[in-house]
Amino acid sequence: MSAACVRSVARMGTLVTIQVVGHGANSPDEREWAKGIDRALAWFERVEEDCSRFDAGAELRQLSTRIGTPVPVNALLFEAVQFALAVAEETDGAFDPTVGRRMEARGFNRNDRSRQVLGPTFALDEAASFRDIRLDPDRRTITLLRPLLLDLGAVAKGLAIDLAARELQPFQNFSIDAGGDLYLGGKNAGGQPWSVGIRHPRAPGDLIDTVRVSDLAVCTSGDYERRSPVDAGHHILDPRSGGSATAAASVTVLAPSAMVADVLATAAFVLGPADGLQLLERHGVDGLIVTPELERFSTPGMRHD
Amino acid sequence: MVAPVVPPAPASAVPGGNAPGTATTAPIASAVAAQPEVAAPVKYKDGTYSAWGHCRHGDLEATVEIKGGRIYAVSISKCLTRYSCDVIDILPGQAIARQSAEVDIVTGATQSSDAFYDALVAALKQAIL
Repeated sequence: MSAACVRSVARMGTLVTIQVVGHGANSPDEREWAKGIDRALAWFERVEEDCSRFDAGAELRQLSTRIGTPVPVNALLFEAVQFALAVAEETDGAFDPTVGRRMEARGFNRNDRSRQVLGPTFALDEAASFRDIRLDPDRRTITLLRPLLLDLGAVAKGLAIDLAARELQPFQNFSIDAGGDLYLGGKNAGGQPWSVGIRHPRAPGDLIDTVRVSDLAVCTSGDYERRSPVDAGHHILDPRSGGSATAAASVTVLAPSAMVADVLATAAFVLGPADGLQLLERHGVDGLIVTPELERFSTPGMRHD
Repeated sequence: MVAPVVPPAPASAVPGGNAPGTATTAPIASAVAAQPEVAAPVKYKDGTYSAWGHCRHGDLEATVEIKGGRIYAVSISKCLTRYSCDVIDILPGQAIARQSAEVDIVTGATQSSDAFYDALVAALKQAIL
């Protein structure tokens, strides 16, 4: 006997769905669950405001208009940038939050300065990289040494998922789905670890693998082919070359933190199967890398269902 | 390995009817779910629901059909955005594909779109039991 409470909102350009599950023993209090889900969903709005809106988020915007000056920022933004930079250094720029995806769908395109929300006099320095950012943890300031765009999309989504999961811990059994990036708490409605299907990168309705997880985040970076001849899609760039990253079609990472899983999935996507798997193993997380030729590479601890 | 749930290919864009800024009567892009082998929890009232989503590029209308309490079909029914809805025609298929009868939940990369998901959520709100 189980009951569930589900809610969905549109946030961060995607669909966020949270489900809380109860099992026979404890009688479900739907009102408490609904309130808990609302608190968890509120984190997505908060993180979006603080970290990923270039127009509404004053702090993120200020950074780019005060080159060379340490700018105090909110705690969430600082944490997101700090982690992103750590992975950038470790991967020697294979992951670089200053060279993100082309965000056509959200109206951001680095090649289209006329749509810059940061002001007509602002000009990006094309040679800028993560090495042009300085952090001061004591003062919680960020300094940009050159004009650049901080793209915290993936980091912010993972951070929001982690904060939402923390909010839902007292309920034990729950699922968070933010546009295909997940956190699974406890067990599913059947009392089993959650069964998670991994989308086949080239066949939209198919699954390429299934895993069972409990108390883990599952995040996927993918560059799925588009059917539309208008190739205005969402390409993951290799920051080191500036061109498209082509070593992988899909990377799924399992980790206790969604922010970690999200960033490492993106980094491993660029690095490809060999270096990507090494990166995951160095961080003690499990994952699956699928190449464009549909070869699969997984960490030893990956428990396929 | 589990048997795949394969939605039929989405309807191709109506010729001449998908120009930015024009309304059409046929769906811009749609996807339909195959029938599940295992009954999933019923969450929605059967019926067809539409709602508008807005973003800086303009507006679009999403339509969702609920059958058997589950999302059966999703489409972009009207496109009034400045840029062609071709850019996001992949989204209805992704919304369907993320429902699978064989597993609890699906992980995968998805395209971003404020307007489409705003519209989808608004349509689903009308369908909540």
